[in-house]
Amino acid sequence: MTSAVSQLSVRDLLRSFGGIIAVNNISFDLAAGHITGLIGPNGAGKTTVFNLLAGSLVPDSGTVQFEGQPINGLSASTIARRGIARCFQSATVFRNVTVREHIVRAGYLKAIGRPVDLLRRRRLADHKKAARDRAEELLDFLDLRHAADRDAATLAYGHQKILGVGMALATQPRLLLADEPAAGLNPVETTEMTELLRRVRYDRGIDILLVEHDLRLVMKLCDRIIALNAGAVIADGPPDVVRNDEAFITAYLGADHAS
Amino acid sequence: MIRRWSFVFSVATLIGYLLIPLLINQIFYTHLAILIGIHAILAVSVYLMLKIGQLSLAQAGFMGIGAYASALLTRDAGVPFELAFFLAGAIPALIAGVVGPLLMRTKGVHFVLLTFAFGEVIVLIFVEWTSLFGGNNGISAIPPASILGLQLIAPSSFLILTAILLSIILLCCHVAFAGDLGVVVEGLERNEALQSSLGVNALAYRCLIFSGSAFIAGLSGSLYAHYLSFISPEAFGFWTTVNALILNVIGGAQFLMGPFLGALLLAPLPEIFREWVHYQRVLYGVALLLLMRGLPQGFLGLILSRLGGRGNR
Amino acid sequence: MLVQTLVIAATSSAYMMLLALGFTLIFGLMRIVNFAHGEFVMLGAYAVYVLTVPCGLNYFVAIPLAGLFAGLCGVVAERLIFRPFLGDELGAMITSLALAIILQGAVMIVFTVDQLSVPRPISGVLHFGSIYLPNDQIFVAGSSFLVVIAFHFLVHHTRLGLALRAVAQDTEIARAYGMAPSVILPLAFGIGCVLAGLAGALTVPLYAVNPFMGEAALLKAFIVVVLGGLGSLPGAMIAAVILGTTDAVISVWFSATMATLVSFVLVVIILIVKPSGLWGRA
Repeated sequence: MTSAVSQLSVRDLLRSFGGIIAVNNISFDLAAGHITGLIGPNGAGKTTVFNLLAGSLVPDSGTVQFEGQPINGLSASTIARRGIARCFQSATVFRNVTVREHIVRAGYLKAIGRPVDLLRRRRLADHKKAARDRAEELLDFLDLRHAADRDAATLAYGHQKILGVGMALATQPRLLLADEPAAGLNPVETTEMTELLRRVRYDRGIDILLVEHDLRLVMKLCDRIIALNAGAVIADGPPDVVRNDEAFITAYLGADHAS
Repeated sequence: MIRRWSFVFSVATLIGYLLIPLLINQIFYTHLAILIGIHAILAVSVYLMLKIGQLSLAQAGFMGIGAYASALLTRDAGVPFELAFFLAGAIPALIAGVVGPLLMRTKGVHFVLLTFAFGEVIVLIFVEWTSLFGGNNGISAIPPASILGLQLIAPSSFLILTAILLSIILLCCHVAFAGDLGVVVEGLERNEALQSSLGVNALAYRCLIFSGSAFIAGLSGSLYAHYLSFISPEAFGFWTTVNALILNVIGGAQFLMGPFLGALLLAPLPEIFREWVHYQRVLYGVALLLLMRGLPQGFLGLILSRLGGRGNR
Repeated sequence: MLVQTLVIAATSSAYMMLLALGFTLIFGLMRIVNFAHGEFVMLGAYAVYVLTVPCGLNYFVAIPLAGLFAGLCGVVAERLIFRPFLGDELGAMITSLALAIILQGAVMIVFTVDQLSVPRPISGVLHFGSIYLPNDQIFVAGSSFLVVIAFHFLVHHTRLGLALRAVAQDTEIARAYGMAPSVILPLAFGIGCVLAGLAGALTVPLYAVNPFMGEAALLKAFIVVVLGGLGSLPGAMIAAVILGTTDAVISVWFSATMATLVSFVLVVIILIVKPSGLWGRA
């Protein structure tokens, strides 16, 4: 896990909700070049960590640095423009809009991130042009070309999630935060999603941090795993190490048995 | 297809709105048309907020700020109407721009409650600051509107001003929402978290819309003040905003023409059936209830669905 | 002066509690922002007027009847009007506006827009040495606190209260207690309206009755509930005390309008620091 520059550096991150500490002084570093899995039983604080990293929540204390720059406390949109993209469970935002147009819009929305940007017509036109070119290339990468002209709302659930990844990629991130990419997918779709994420990492060089319940997928896909329980890191390392980690086994299996 | 039809329908309605009273040429109908226009403009300001999925109950307060600003500037400060009219929009827009980032930190129910309280505070200030705003007696002897030295004393000339203004506002909104702003605004209403993760500063855009809606509400206030030549605080209370909301719901809050259509249907009623005002309130309420239950897209939604299209945004 | 201010503060806090508890109960359970809440206060006030002036009933008998009447109207409103809008906050809000308009209009038709007043059943002042306390205010403060205590008992020490609190968390849990939401929700709405009706009934002799009196009551309930955290009962109680006291102190030393302005500013500042209110859930 050692690398000269850590891409994402989390220090003493703390966040509580009305007296309940959801994330308790978590620290970790992500080196460039990995797919990292964030796992843990329900209520372990995974989603809260995600929301803190993506700027949807503001930490009570602690720092987050991305490529050497502090990003804690910045708004979600600013963090997105800094190069961290997040893909959501469902990505169909616009009514009566095709799959292609969804990807195009995802690609140029950051060019109109603030209202004043609407006035810079020439810059926006350039961004739109670039977003269109990128969308064509992404349609092939995502294997969604056959559905490019369909209304995105009519896509099957599995394809909607792939579109979600595609829209995140359209923003040209350097780190992708994937929120339960396989949740609700059948085994075939899960394999497709796993393959897609692998290609995102190895063909495009985009690092991935993912939260996922499907442990098999996590063990197969990730080259590093951070296990959380009750808001704290209990195990951290390559899948083989974490799999056999004492604390991890008790927390996970214990919690599973309890529920 | 539907889009073209609705455009033709919109233009025809606007032209009819202006021409029919002018052709009938009776002061009463002109008066009705002017009231419809003023209500419709306020309703459009409510519509803008509904467009981003928020309900603001401060809109009548902004209308009041526009009305008082325009009245005082023309009457006491000798500012020409054209400039005062612009300031009647700009001042509430500025106030909305300042309080917006504070109020807009909340959404949904909390935002509704805060704007309700904010609107009440605006009216309270009009009532209490008697030296400037004249208290409950309000302000009278407001000079009539005048454009380039031409005084719009005749109701028909004021109607032309109202109709032109309404058309410009509707056209501006249409153009703005047809373009990139529309893309952002639709995303804000549907899935703000995702929109933010794509790099859009949601708060800034919501404040922009809030400010814009205050601008439009202020313009309607200026028209109101110069048409009646008298204003008092109670005209800008909570219920005025609620009426504007009702115009939206009845006309069809999904459509830009909805508020105008609602105003066409409802704004004349209190003037036509003066003795029946109390019954009308009950009728309004019942109509609103039934529409919420049976016709959530309003009458325009009904018409469009009869024309064979889905409720096209 | 200090003791007088304290009595005014207590009266005003107790009144605000009555207004806010019902409002926040209804929101907490059904996510309905009831814009007609002030109109239920008005119903309570008009009920007292009808029962005492034309019917000649004793004022103290009329108070609970007025509360019951408002509560009954609430149950009917929940069943007939609000039921389809469970889970649709904006829809329920607009529906409650419609209800407010209907109630106002109905009252205007029956009673006209004129101010009505109920003769003061309590007069005189208590005085301890140099301190004078008006009896009617003491009565309002005292009975409001009694109602609040009774409500507190209902919520925390009865099966119904347990079910109410369970519904606020999760309708499935409530079912497990053997109470269907279809019974609990109208009941809760009714209880909220009883509190509103009592607020109106108790203060009738202090203020005049008119069809527009609901708006001021609504504004008070709003400010308290927003400060305390929407849907939080303890939040509403504490916020009522905070706002009731500031309101009383500023009204006594400056003016009532100043008091409203200050409480609004106070609420905005707190919401900027903590958007969900003092006791609200995030």
